[in-house]
Amino acid sequence: MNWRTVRAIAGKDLLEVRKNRLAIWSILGLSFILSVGMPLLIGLLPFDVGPSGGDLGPFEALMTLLPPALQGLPDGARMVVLMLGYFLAPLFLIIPLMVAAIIGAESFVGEKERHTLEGLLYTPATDLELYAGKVLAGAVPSVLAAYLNFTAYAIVVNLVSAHIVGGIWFPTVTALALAVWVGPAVALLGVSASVLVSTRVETFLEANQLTGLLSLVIVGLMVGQGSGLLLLSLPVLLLVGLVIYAVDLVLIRLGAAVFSRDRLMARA
Amino acid sequence: MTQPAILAEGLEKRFGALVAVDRCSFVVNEGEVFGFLGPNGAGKTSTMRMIACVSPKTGGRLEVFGLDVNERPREIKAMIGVVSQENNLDPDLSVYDNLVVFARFFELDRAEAARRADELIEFFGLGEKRDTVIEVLSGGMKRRLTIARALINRPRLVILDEPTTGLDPQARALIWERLRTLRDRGSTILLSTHYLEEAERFCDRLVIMDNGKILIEGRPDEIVSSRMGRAVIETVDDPAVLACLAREGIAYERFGDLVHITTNSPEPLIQRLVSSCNPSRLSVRNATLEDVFLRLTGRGLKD
Ligand SMILES: Nc1ncnc2c1ncn2[C@@H]1O[C@H](COP(=O)(O)OP(=O)(O)O)[C@@H](O)[C@H]1O
Ligand SMILES: [Mg+2]
Repeated sequence: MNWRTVRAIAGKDLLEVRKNRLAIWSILGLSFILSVGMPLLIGLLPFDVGPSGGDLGPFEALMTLLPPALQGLPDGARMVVLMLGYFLAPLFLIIPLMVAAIIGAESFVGEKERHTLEGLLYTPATDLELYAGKVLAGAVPSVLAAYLNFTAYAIVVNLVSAHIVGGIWFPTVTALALAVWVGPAVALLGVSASVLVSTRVETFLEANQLTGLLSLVIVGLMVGQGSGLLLLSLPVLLLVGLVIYAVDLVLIRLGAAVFSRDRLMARA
Repeated sequence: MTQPAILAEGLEKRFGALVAVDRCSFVVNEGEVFGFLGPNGAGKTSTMRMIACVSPKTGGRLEVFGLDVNERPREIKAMIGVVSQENNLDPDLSVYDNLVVFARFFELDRAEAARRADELIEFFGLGEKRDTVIEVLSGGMKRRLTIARALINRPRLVILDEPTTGLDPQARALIWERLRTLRDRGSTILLSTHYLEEAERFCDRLVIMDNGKILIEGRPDEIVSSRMGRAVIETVDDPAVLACLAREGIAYERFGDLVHITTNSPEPLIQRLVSSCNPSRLSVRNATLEDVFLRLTGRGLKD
């Protein structure tokens, strides 16, 4: 495998993505909503910031799972911490997933739509290099986007809640693990899934919708979180990340095996 | 003895039961312009795709610059430039980006890619469109850009599959003119076309294919003179004239509503025809590849 060729392919795909307005605006819009809009909205909700002792209903049990350092806070503050620091955090994984899926859809299916694979056939680039380039083109920006968004999220969260929590408190260890460890795993999941999807569908939109189904993984994480199953624990997050990486590995190898220009062009 | 650019022996391509290329043998020498002529479905594209290492042969031997297409496709691809039958430029990119992006697949560094892109834009007269998205280019410009792109790696062998098909005469002339410059610089050119006049003027040697088989191979003028003689006399297909020709013992062929008589010495024959058969119409012209093709296949090339 020749790295210059791989990089050339990744570069070309990213150039392509930059020209796809739908892709760019989806990524920017989603980022803004998740990293700025949501925390802002929740931070501005009028939680009762009075002393502890109020009835928190179903959340009461969850509250007790918060790290000891945060237990002493008033109910309202604990509520904000719970929402911003824990409930919303998995939702944040949608960013690497979607960015990877959007770029993947653009780079694999877009090529099919534009009939540009034929041209690549005539270059010395191999299928494997092409595939590696495309995986790289999907993975690098989505991890980058995840980190940028995480930083933005952290800033907004502290801006809206530092005064009630009593200082800068985010990111928590678990949120950090989520972003740094689980985020890239999910990005790779988006990339590898879109490769496989692209061998089946014909248009960018179709590919995007199908890969969007992957968000279910994240919804799953949220439900687990909400029901207290997965809450907060670093070991659980590390394990979840590990499992997703393993799935990534399988999917990426599978993708390399099925990815062929001939097959994508459906001719011999 | 220099090594040929392309060597094909008993080359074959099957798609299931269909034999698209049927045991073809030919040699293309370096510096030569070699043409594939034939009607649609003759097997020209299939042959060229095998040479370009994008479609595996199913039989025979095929070497490009002495390298086997099955064993060394990467090295071969690095040495050739291919203009496929369909343009497959990137519609979202500009003229310039199409070239630069493609260059990168041939491991040219950025500066070199940029230099060559501008050089080729100049060479193909696309300067005004340099930063235009290619979607809006005319058919002729797209074709020129596709050819330019195929030259980005300074190929020793350029393969052009119907470079001028579907273009208006002016656009075609422009392309032939550029290809001529390329030829004069010593590039080896392999092309297919069904514009026989253009092929006749442009190719050093050519083959005529039909149904996957090579019917004839040689220099255009030699093919015409050996198969047809120098001239073709055309006259009307009417019973009186046919009877007269038979009576005079003059060999003829009927094509549609015309009768063709081929000859190496048209003048005396015309006098004879006029005095004894008195046809309502008569004309003489030089024999062409089209005539050879008609005779070999019994039909025109554009059918
Ligand atoms: N991918 C393919 N699958 C099946 N048949 C094909 C394929 N490509 C070409 N053919 C058939 O092979 C024959 C030769 O086609 P082609 O090489 O494209 O001819 P030409 O370029 O001379 O028009 C035709 O009968 C065509 O239908
Ligand atoms: Mg063809």
